[in-house]
Amino acid sequence: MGKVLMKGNEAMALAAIKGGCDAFFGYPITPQNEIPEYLSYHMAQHDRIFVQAESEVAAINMVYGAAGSGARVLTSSSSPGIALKQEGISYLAGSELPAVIINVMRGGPGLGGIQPSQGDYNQITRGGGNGDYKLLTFAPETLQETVNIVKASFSLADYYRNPVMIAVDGLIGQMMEPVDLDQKIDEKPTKEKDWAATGHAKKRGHRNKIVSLYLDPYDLEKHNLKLKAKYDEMLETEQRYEMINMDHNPSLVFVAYGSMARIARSAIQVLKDAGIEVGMIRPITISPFPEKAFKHLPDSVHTLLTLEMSLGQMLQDVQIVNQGRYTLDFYGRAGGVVPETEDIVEKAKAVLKGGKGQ
Amino acid sequence: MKTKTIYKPTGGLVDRDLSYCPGCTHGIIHKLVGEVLEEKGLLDEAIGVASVGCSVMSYEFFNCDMQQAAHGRAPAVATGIKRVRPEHTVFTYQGDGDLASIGMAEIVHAAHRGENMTVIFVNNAIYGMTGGQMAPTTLINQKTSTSPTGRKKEGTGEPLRMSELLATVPGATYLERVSVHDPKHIRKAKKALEKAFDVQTKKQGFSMIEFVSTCPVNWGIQPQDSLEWMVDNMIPYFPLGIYKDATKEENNE
Amino acid sequence: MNRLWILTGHYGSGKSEVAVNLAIDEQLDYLVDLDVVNPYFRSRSVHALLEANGVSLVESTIEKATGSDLPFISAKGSRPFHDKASRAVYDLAGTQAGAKLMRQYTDIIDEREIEFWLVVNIYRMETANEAQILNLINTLEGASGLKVTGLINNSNLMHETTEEHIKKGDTVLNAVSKKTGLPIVFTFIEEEVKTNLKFAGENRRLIRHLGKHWL
Repeated sequence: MGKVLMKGNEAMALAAIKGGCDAFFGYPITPQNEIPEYLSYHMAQHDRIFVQAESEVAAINMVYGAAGSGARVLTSSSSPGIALKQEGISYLAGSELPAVIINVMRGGPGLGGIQPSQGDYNQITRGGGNGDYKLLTFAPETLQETVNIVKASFSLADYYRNPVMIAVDGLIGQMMEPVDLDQKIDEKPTKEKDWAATGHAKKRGHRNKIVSLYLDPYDLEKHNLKLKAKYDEMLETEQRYEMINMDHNPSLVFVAYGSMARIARSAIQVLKDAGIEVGMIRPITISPFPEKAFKHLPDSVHTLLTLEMSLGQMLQDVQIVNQGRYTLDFYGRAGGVVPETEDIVEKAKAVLKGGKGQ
Repeated sequence: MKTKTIYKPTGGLVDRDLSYCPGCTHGIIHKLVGEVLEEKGLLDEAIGVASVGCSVMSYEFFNCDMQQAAHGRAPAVATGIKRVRPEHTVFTYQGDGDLASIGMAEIVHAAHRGENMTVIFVNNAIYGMTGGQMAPTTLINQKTSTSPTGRKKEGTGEPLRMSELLATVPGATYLERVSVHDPKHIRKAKKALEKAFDVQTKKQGFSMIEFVSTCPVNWGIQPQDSLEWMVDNMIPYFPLGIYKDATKEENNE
Repeated sequence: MNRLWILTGHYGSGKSEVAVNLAIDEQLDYLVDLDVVNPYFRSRSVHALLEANGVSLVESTIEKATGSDLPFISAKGSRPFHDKASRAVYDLAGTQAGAKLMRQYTDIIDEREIEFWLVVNIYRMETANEAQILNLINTLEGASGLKVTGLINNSNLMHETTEEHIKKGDTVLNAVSKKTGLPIVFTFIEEEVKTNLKFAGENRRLIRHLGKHWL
């Protein structure tokens, strides 16, 4: 199959099938509805499982059950629905079960709106549910990158026995772009799921139990430390990012992900045409946050300008890794408002002039 | 001298002491479930789902693969398991706070979809694990730690009858309420469990066996009196019997 | 050509972009946006542009609310049927979900007044070949109760489109046309594509009004 034109949501759905997804459990919410709609038909065509659950809470608990019995499982939702899923996500992390969760983010808080947003950053990167845990979270920029990540996410989830989230804003879910669904991708080596409660106690010679309950705090702490070691491994090996226009000695560097990075990319071109070189750090993983990207910036860099479709959430991670080295500035829009290229260009020019800009 | 085995512990349970209190019927119910799984040859393929409540640790007791669910979500978890492993026997083991309160949506919709699974529902009219709070099934005038002067209809409603409620759900196949307060009723309860697991094996759909049960600790009475209290107070409100048997309808067709 | 143009097709075939282009180029009186499926990239999102070009936009009862996914249809949607001097384009949501909306106009539709055009992009997986397109025509006619009267070639890979892509779409649609007797009414050519070729039907440049340039 060559390149085809696809809508983000359906491309993610098809990529999940190609990534070996055995079962999908979901609930309708805008702007991700094309995912369950597409899968309701195509999962059956591939002899796989599709269930429309009674709620997001039920859907994520179905994911937990299916993942516990050894399947590759997907659920998708948008911000308010992801908030509801946090109970199950915490259980997945606590029981060390692999699963993939697609979050097509919209404006909040509360019912918010249906237009694109990146306002779930804190919910995603700071836990979301109860307890000490982390998600491996990707925030891709193009449909091609999204498709490749969705395909690989199932093997990553299996490898770490941890939920993996694909966090895109509504624009990436709704936009259309040419994609090649059969690009070769790197996958983690597959391991047998000898821990799964598959209902083969006798054949296996022992019972498998999927549990996140520990009656002894010392046992639970040991479990927490085991999880921590896993997150440390992710921090070491899974940080992904792209450095853009850094070989032109920019003094200003954007930090942006997802759709915001697309807009920033076009702003970089406009600025370049005007003789101004601006670089960009584009996080592809937001959990773990790609701190390595900040360690090897060119000497020319003076200011980091964080750009978000939220009001200073990723900025906190930039502050943490920056440790006072560079001057920090911020531009964010919220509520589903998508800035224009010119907004970013103007802000960049104001920052370079030493003003704050708007 | 020739010996004859007239009784042995069921292989359906792990060989260890159960954690339940004196006078609580979880132990008898566990044994019955274990026996039925063993006798029907389902132990080596069954997957059980433990819930949150006093039976939260049931994953340590049933001698098969087990998964522990979040509070109320066992029917959703079991749905995920059963859809992925349709040839395996899947059951949940839930209390009344879990099933009739926080898990109301999950139990109704699992029945509604006609999930081919078996639910073991233990109703003792109170939250045991968390310290004797009022449950949806708590009787009128029953004192609990959150209805200290007794449950009143005004503001807290009247006790929910889950078997009757689920009997109105078109997707449910087999619903029966039983008790284990004497040998006769224990035998009857075991028959009900056998029927429920048969329904699943024959892929006939959703089955639930509700056990009217006790909680001497939180009821604040002696273990030996708790069965009597249950028979006198609970069974009149939660009458025993079959509430739905769609397998009969199927047979008639 | 009849005065009311109803655009149908698989979702993502580019109906909204085509509708906006036609409404402006042809100085139509109305653009009726009946998209009850998509939350973004609907023709109603360019209400100011349409207004500036003298096109009356008929959309949801909640007007100019881009943040709404409430599928309210305005009663004004039937106005072009009654306003006999007017010319209008109807932009339906994709596939059956969109086409079935035409059922509400069953009583007032006069088949002599309408065109029911199928917009096709062969780079959508579901309309990649002749058989799939014929199948879609069947489905959409069933859902809408209308007969397709013409085809629009909108084959593209957005900014990656080349002359070859449009040519391939032209070949596939010509085969469909031959089999069904349906004319190819327009071929839309992506704005930046360099070509001197003449494709079937009227050839038009497609200006992307809905998508931002960084998309």
